[in-house]
Amino acid sequence: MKYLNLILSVTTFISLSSSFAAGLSANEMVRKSDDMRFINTDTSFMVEVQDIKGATSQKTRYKVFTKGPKLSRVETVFPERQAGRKLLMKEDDLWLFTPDIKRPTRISMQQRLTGEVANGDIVRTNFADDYNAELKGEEKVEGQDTYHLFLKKKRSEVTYPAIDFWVTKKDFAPVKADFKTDGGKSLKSAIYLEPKVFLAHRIFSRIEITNALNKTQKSILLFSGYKKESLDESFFNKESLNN
Amino acid sequence: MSLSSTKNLLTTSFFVAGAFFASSALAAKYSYDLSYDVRYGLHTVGKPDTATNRHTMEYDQRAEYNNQWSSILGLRAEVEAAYASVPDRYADTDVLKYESQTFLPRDTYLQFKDGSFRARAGYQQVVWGEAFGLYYADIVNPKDYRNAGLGDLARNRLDSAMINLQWIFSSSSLQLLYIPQPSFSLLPSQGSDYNLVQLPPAAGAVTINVDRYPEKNPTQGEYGFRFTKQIEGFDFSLFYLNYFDRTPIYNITTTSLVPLVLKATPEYKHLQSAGATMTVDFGGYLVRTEIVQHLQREYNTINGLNVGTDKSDELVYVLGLDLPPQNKWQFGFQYSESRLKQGNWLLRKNTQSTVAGRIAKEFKSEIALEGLVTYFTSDSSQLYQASLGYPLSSQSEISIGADRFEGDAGTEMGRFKNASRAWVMFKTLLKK
Repeated sequence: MKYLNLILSVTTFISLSSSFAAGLSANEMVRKSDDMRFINTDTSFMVEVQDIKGATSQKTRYKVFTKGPKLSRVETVFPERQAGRKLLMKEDDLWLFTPDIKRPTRISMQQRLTGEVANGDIVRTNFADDYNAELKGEEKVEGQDTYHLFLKKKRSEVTYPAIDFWVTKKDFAPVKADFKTDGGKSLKSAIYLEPKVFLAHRIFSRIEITNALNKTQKSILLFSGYKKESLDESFFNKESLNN
Repeated sequence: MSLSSTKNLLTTSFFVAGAFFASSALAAKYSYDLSYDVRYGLHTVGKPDTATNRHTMEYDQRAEYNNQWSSILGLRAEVEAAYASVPDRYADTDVLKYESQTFLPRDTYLQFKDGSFRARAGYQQVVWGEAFGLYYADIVNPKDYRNAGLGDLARNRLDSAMINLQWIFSSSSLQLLYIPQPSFSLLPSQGSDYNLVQLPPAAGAVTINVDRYPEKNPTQGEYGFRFTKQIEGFDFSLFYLNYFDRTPIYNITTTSLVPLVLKATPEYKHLQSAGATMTVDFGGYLVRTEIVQHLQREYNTINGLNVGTDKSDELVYVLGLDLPPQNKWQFGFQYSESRLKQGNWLLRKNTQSTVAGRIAKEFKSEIALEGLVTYFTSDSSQLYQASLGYPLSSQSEISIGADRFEGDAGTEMGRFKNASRAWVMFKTLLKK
């Protein structure tokens, strides 16, 4: 048993060192992975969210504007009866503008947008700035050789306290994420699919998020229509939401 | 709304609409919204007759001429058929005469934007404040109180013609307002379930006629500013408005002694208000505060049978807390207080406070439940509101709900007990 432990430790050490040998720490792997989950310039794009609950499903479409990883604005496009709703995220602060109140209302990050998707799933995609990463090992996930990373929140404001995150060994592309509570209980999992090239960046255009407690509850996020924008910072002030 | 002001609004809207339709010839990107809603309700206290049968149509046309110039044209037409359909309750009342049809301009303005600068001229809503449910710091636009202000806040806010200049930076903003012609809140007419000026049964045959066309409406311009700043997760704002009170005081005169007939003439008094708001998120616990100081606000007083007026500073403050959502349930609490100096104020106490609780949840298939309880601590009266919304399609939704007023006669909410109702509402929207 002693020898087995030693062998395992050495194997783990060799395996972990191989990632450092590539010159990347766990945090750097997460940053590389972030590059394949969002574009770090002034951009707009469309997100379609399909919420599936058993046999029923519903669709919501958003137009998203981002300026780097800290500033995002999400505008509901479909269904029409919700059009005009706008969500602004500025670092860890969130405001919701609804036409029936006609003023931005501060909301907390935990207030969900729709189905299995939280506001933070759509507008906050930067794990590297929000979490400290630790390499747990190497695993085969979704048929791919991956590094298993464990992400722990740096601040209380982030959407999920902890994430088990798998990235490909080849290019650190995101494969799967398990979002967890402080106590380690699984909340939901995400699978990253269908990479496409938008604005010369390879981005995953489909994310499937499944409720950990009820596997029949699922949300599919489809990303499309990336456009380069020139967005003034005032566009991301809550006072601009009534526009 | 008086006939003359309705005519003025219609004429203004006609010219504004004409200007915009003429400008439709300009190369621009246009979008159109046409919404219709119908709300039907029955009284739940006393005889269960029709409480509301309201049909509303609203049209919005947006045009973007280029990156800097854009415009919006909005109009609302509303018919309330309840008053005509229940003659034994509303016959020969002002509410039947004046609240059965309404035409209002909605957002109708021209906008110029250049970097951080934004200018708007025309009918618009300017919303200051952080609290839910009631208008505390939301002092700029007059309100439609004909339904006691229940329902959507934006719907009950009346658009005012103004010039609105804003400099919006990354985490701060400055707003300057100029309102050339003051406009005032729409108050419930005599005969309305929500009429504030209801005489006690002991008053017997006394009649009060409210002058609907006062000659002394102010015409001077109004101005104000607001500064906002976000620092380290805190939202702050400071504001000041030099204006005319949106609700009037009444001058009472006797027009006949036998039988006793009184005339109440509304007068809108000059007012200055200043205040601050703050909101902060403490790890999912959202704290919202508002404080507003109205300087030398004029109120009606009562001394025996004599109705007069007096001035007092009024301090209003609100403290609210939203809890972190639990399994999609949202909970919010709010405490508010309004203080006047010592005096025998008509229709209010020196210090009035309310405690409100809100609960909301969105169930599967977007079924939305909302409940609101408001408790007036000074007289123990209460208002209970509940609604359940169900989407029928991407464009339409239906909702059911109830408003229940409780309390002794003459209390803040008890005086509206007979207005308690259950309602159903259908809304649809066409977009192009």
